[in-house]
Amino acid sequence: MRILVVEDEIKLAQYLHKGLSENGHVVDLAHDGIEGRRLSVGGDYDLVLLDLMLPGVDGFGVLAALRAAQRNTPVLMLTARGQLEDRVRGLEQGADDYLVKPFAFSELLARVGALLRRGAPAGAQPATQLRLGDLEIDLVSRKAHRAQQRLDLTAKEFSLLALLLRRRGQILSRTVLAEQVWDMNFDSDTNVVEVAVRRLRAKLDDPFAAKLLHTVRGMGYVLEERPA
Amino acid sequence: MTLCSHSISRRLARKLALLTMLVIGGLFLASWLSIGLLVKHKNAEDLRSRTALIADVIGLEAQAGGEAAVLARVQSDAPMRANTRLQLWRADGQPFYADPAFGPHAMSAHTRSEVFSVDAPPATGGALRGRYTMDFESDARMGRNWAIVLIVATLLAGALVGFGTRWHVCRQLLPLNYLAAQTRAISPRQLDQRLSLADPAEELLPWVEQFNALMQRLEGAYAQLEGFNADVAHELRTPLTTLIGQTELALSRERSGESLRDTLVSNLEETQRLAAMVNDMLFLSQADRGAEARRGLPVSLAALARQVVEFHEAPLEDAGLLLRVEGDVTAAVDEPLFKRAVSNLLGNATRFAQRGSTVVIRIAAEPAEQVQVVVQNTGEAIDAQSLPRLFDRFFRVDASRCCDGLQHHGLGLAIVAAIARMHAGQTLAESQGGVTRVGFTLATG
Repeated sequence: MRILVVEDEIKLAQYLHKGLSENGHVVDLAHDGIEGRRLSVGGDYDLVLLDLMLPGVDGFGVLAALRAAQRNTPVLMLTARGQLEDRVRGLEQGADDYLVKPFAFSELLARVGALLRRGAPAGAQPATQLRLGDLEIDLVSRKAHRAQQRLDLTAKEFSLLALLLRRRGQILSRTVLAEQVWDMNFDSDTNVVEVAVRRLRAKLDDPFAAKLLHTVRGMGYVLEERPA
Repeated sequence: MTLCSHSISRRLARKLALLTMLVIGGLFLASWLSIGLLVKHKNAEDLRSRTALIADVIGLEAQAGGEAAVLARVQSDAPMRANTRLQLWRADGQPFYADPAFGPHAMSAHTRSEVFSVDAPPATGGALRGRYTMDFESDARMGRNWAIVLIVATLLAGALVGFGTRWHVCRQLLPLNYLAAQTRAISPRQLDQRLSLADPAEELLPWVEQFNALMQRLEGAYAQLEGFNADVAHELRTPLTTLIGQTELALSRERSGESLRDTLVSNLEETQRLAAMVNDMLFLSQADRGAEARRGLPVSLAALARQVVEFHEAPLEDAGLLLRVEGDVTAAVDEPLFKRAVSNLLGNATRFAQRGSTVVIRIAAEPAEQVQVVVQNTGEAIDAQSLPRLFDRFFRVDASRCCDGLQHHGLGLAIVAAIARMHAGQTLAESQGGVTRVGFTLATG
C-alpha cells in the first residue's frame, strides 16, 4: 500500500518511514505543508498520515485542499495538541481518524491497518467459526474449545479471545484491548488488562503444552502459533 | 506621563465650566431682562406724567394768554427739556411749535413718544395737538454696558471653575499615580506584595481591595503551579535517570542482541510511563483551564458503573473482592470521563481493600441537582491528615504500598477531582473504623 507521510519533524518522519516500510508499505515523505499538499492532491496514495502543525500550510489546509480536489484518500491526523476542538475540527473537515502524540507505533500500525481495510472492497461473509491450531471458537454460540475441550470463559474473556483470534499475529496494545473489549476509551492507570489476560491465559494455555497467547513486552499481546 | 494629561480631569473641568457658565449666565440673563423691563416701565410712567404736566401748563397758558402766551412759555421752558423734544400742531395740522432737532433736543434711536391734545379755545382752531418725545439713550447704554460686564463675569466664572476643578481633580487623583507605581513594582517573584493607600479614598478602596484579592488568588494559583512544576520535574527525574543510565550502560561495551533487546524493552516501558504521565498532566491542565464535560444523553449511571465493574472483574477476583452497585440515578454525563473516574476510584479501592471484603459503589441523588458517586472499601484506615490531600497531584498515601507500581503515578485521584470539576461537582473522602469512602459529586445536566 502507498502511504504519504506529511511530517516536519525529520526524526519522527524517518522513523515512520522505516517502520511503515518494514511493515510492507511504500512510503513517501513530505516535510512541509506545501509539498504535502502537492503530493497528496497529485499523487495516488492509499493513505495520508498528516501532521497538524506544519510549516507553509498547516494540516487543516492540506486536508481542505485534498478534499476540495475530490480525493477520498483516507487521512489519519497526527497531532501534539490534545484539545478536543482540534480533533472535532479535523474529523469535521474530513479526516478519517486521529492520533495524539505521543503514540505507540503498534497503535499507529493498528489504525493504519483499520483505515486501509476500510478502503478495501468487502470480502466474503465474515466467518462465524475461527480456528488457530487446536483452538476453535464459534462466534454465534460464543463457545470456545481447545483440543475438543470446552473452555469455561466469562463473557468478556470470550470477547477478548475472539478479538485476539480475529487479529491473530497482530500485537494488540492494552489500550486497544480496553477500548475494543470493554469500551473504555482512556489510558487506565491500573493493571486491569494485564490481569484479565493473565486469567485468560490460565484457562487457554496453562493446561496445554503449546502456548498461543504471548506477551510482547512493552507493546501488548499477540495470539499466534509459535514453534516450540 | 502624569495623571493630569489624562482626560478625566480635563473632561470634568470642561463640563463643570460649561455648567457653571450656563447656570450663572442664565441667572444673569434673567436678572438683566427683568431690570430692563422695570426701567422701561418706569420710563413710560415718567413720560406719561411729564406729558400730562406739559399738557396742563399749555392749557393754563392758552386760557390765560392765547397762542402768544403758549408760545412764549414753551420757548422759555425749552432749556429745561434737555434730552426731550416737544412738538405742537394746530387743529388743522399746521405746525405750531417744535423744539429744534439738534443740540439738547437731538434724539438718538432709543426714544419713546406720547401724543396729547389740549383744549385751547382762544387759539386758532380751538385746540392744540402735541407730541412729547423723551430720549432714553443713557439707559440703553447702561443696559449694554451692564450686559458686557455680566458676560465677562460669566466667562470668568466658567474659566475659574474649570481651572479649579482641573487642579482639584488632579490632586485628588494623585493616589492613582501612587497605585500605578506600586503595581509596576509587583513582579512574579514578589507576588506577596499588596497595594495600599496612605490616605484611603472611599472610591478607590473597593478597587484596591479587589486588586489585592486578585493578587491573593494569583499568588495561590502561582504557588500551586510552581509546586506542580516542581512535582513534575521530580516525577520525571527518576524515569529519565533510568533511561539515560540504562542506555549508556547498554552502549558502553559489546552486548548480545538479547541483552540489547532487554534494555530496549525496558526503555520502552519507561517512556510509555512518561507518555502516560504527560497525557494525564495535559488532561489536568485542560481541566484547570476550564474545559467542560461533553455531556451526552441521560443514561443510567449504575449501568455505566457496571460496565466499569466488568472491566475490573479480573483484578477484583484476583484480590478476592466482592462488588455491589447500590442505587441509580439517570443523568446526562460525559460517559468516557465518568467511566474513567469510576475506574480510577475502583482501582484505588482494589489496591487498599481487605481480601474477602465487599467493595460498594453507591450512586445517590443529592439535593440541589447533584449526584453522589462513592466507592467504599473495607481495609486499613487512611489517617485524617492525608484525607484532604488525597486528590492532590502526585500524592500517595504510602509510597511503600504502591506495589503494582509500573503504571501508577499518583495522578489517578487528581483526575477524578478534575472530572468532578468538569461536571460542576466536587470530591469527598472519609475514613472511619476501617471503612474508607472516596467519591465525587456531579451536577446533573
